[in-house]
Amino acid sequence: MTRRPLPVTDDLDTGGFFEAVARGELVVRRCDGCDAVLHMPRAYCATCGSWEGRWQPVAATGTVYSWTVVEHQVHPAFPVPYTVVLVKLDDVPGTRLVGHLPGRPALRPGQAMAADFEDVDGTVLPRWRTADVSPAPAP
Amino acid sequence: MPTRRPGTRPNASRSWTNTASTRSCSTPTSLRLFDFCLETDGACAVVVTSTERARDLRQSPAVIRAVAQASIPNPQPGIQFPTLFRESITSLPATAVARTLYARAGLGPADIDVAQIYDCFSITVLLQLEDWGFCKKGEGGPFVASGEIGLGGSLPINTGGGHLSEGYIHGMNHIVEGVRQIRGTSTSQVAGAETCLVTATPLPPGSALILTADR
Ligand SMILES: [Zn+2]
Repeated sequence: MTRRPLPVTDDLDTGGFFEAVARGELVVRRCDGCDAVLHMPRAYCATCGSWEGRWQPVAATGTVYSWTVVEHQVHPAFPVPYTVVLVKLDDVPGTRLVGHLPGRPALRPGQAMAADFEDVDGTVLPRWRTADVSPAPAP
Repeated sequence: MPTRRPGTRPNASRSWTNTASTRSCSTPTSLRLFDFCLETDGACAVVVTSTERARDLRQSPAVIRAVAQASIPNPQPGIQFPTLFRESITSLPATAVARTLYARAGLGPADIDVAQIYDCFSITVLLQLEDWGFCKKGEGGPFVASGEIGLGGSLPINTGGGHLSEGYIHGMNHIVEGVRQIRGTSTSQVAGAETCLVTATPLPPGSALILTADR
């Protein structure tokens, strides 16, 4: 199979997210100036202008906000059908992350989700699954 | 509606009614091939001048009654489709654009004779019909299915074919078609049309204008 495209993990804005994920932890960016959650993660807070922020650990659990089943082949590394799911984080409900589920799993809004962490060619990524499936151990 | 514009024959088969028979690209939202706009090379031009000057020209003027623009709350640089953080993925900036534009124009949904609704995807039309007050939130689907957007309906839309059937000229062809409706020269003319709503890009900012006859 074609190798999966992988994210840049040392970006100034988002690098801390992938550092945490490599440790088996999920984090959101918080501004030190006004405490806003910066999502997508950024070094700079557009609300108060602060460059100071921190990475706050959050539970790797959430609920299904919405989803769509992709039937049209776009990239050879992602064979169809697969399901793109928007997960609303339990600890920070205004923040959503994207998950990739193989096939056409039966989902419903509000369904419990949990992430484990998988090593893809040396890059660790969160992997969302419906919560009734027990997560694999962190790498 | 499917385009009747000359020179656009290959796309003339695209309509809301035959979209369901095309191949599925995603489910359960059931976006099918004809729910996606066409990829098109093309160009449009509009000439904007004072109403007084326009009255002297050979073509009858379409008067720009009002324009408005709005964004989603808390937009972020570089984020085109903010599905990860905007409050609800079924609300568009069109809600705020509509409020401002109707107020500036002194008009409401009931005053609109015909509309050109930005249709990069069919779903953006359904959401905008709701946001612009032509039907209630969540009722865009039934509103379209009942034929209200056809030539005989309460709000004929995208009479030039729009991005889904005529071609994707980034909203400019919607403005040109709006002018044709006001002049009475559309290939799918709405009889007696005197007001035309034209909307643009649904996200992250959106804008719109209302054209009227010179009266
Ligand atoms: Zn701040």
